[in-house]
Amino acid sequence: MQRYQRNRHRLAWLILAPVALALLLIALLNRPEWPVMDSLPGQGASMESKN
Amino acid sequence: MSVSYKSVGWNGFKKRYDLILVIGVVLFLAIFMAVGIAIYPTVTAEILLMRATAIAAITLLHIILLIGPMARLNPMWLPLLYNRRHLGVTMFLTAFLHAVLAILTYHLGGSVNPIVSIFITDAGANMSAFPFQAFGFGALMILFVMAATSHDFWLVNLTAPVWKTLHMGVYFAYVMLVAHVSFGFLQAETSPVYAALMGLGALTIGGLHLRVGWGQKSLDEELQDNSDEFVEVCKVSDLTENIPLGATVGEDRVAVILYEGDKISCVSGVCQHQNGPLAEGQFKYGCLTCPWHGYQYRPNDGASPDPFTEKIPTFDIKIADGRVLVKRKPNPAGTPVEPATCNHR
Repeated sequence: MQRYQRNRHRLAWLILAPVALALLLIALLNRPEWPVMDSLPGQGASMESKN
Repeated sequence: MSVSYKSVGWNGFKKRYDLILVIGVVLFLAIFMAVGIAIYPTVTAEILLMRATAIAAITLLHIILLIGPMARLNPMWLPLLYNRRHLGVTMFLTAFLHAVLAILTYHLGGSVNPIVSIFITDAGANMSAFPFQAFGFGALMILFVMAATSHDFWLVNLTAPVWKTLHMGVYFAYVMLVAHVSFGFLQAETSPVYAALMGLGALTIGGLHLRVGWGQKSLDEELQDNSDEFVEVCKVSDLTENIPLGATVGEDRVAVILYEGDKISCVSGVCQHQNGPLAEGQFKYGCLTCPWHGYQYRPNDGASPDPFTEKIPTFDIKIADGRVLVKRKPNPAGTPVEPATCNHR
């Protein structure tokens, strides 16, 4: 029984761990750009507009 | 093992565990709200509480999922494992509060039923229209079923294998919540810190479970190759009459017991009820007694005394040169095994 449970847990995580990471990766790669990067001093449109 | 059901079998440890848990959650919510109001005075209390409960719930879920593999790697984590169900119920209630706040804030007051609204408001063709709320709802339903069946009543009536299978649903709930957070909150969040934390959490959870699972796999394969082999678990002189001794055979926890003067038996060290540590319990009325809930098993056949029906695997056992040898491959639960005798202790 202990071994059967271990096999089942192993199989579940073998499938679910990559699925979870893939979902996170897909979501982050397709999200709108991080606005914080544009507003850093010396970068992006905000500085250009000031000049 | 009991003939009556109690709502919760309270003891000092459980009370301390739950007190720390509740204080921890309430303190987190309070601090989050206070800091949130100070930094973002224009944000409403409902939105802040919704976010606070979401972060508390997902953090609790990470802790819950970490306890199992951490306890495998280091026994110092076992005390957290003993009362994990209370952690799970607390996590569900926190997530439920988050869901209620989300429905009140975003789905109530329209012409559409608020529950139906959860499933249709994200409809669209681009990524930001991914139905993240539906995933959150699905995860909450799984967590509800788990919280509702967490009591011993359901464990006994559903039987341990069915109950354990049902409660593996938490893994699927976790993946659904990763989707819920990734395609919801992380799409609009301006700071990458939360995305990094979510990634770190998913990597840690998945990595630890796979790491522990693979460590056990090699041991299981070795066990398969040498299943008829007898291995030494202890010396006869290590045993004290009527006091169980814990050991591992392959990766299986076992309990070895010397009783009735010269008999030695070996059974699985894992209680059928909730995987409690039988070797840490007492030997009462001729039975190994689980320290968690008092389930009892006879040492010679691993079966509970009448009228109870629980059974655990037994192990063939023999004595050689004062050493206690146990067969690597366990017998099916409830199989009678002739005890070894130790005349020359």
